[in-house]
Amino acid sequence: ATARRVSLTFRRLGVATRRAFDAANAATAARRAAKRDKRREKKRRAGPAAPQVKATPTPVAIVETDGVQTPAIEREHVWRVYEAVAPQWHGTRYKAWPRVAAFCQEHCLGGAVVADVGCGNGKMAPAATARGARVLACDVSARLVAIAAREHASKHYDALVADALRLPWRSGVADAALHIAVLHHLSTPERRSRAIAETTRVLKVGGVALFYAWARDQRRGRSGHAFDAPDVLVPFHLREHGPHWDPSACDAAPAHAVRDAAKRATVVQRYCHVYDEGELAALVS
Amino acid sequence: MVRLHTINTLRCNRKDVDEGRLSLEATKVDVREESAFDREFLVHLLPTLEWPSLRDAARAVGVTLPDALDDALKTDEAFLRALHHILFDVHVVEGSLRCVESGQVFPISDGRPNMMLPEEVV
Repeated sequence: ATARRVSLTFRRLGVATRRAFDAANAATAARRAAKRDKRREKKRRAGPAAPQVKATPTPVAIVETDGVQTPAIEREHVWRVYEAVAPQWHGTRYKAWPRVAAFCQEHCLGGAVVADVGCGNGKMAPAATARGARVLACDVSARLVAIAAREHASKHYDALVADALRLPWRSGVADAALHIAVLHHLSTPERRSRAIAETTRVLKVGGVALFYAWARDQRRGRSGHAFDAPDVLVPFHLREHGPHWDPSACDAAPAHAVRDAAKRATVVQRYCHVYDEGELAALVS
Repeated sequence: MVRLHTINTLRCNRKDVDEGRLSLEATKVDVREESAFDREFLVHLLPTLEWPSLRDAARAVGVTLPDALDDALKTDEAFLRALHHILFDVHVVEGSLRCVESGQVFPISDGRPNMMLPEEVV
């Protein structure tokens, strides 16, 4: 290869050339100024910008309830949120978490009856049924259950609508149970204990359950942050565009939903109780 | 789609109910091709079946099962294969489950039972 050669030419500009260059530069500067002024005028005429919708988790206080009926915070910030976001949720949640897949490899074998509590869109179905296990799945969101049933119609995965605190199964019918990302949606320790008790009721003696919920301190994990409080509202942007946008979802929006015009999205808040180290283990034992 | 085995695992979960046995009414059924027969699994499953409920549910979809599951049947290959087919290949698409004790009705629509209860009876 030949070495690169650089050649420089110096020329004295004639007066006419210099004048032409100056005129061209002035014209460009004038064009840019006009564009900038037009932009500023447009913004001025548009009025003050709509307040940005907060997009980070917010601490929330839990009100004492009688403990029997579903608390309002769960109805509004869990049940109604999932009903509203189901298609987009499904479009963005498709990979089983690594440790869940490992649990399935060990316990969801051919000849096992497995309960998938809080199955959502059936994300765990491939992992849970891969080795021939028969899966009974449930979720409180009818829309998510419809998606789960449709997506996994050819698998041994029967999905139905049910509340995790009142599982519809007879005692001792399951060899194994998955309880993924459910316990962080329950707002009182009593409700969490009941959910765990219901799951163990459905398990046969010697059966195994995997309970998996959000930690408060996630600094070592993928998200790399810690939550400010044990009970928080976490925003979810229901986008009005993209492949998962379903215009009919507008009708299902919960009362607290706020439209973020800038992002063309409706922001809903999911209630989460995030667990301190050892809290979940203590609850189960 | 909800299989007869799944239906057999269900019960009415109202707090004022004892056993919660459910009675099936099926208006639309989808019978699929015979899935892979796992003899060992089926034999392992037999003790967990609620036989009277299963017999009634099978009747609701037009199948007759013996009154009781005796030891002779548990080793009858042909019977086990037939039972496997009834449990895992018959899907209820439309229908309902009714609690024999309380009368609570749980609809099955598009192959999905809705087992949610009104708040008062949870």
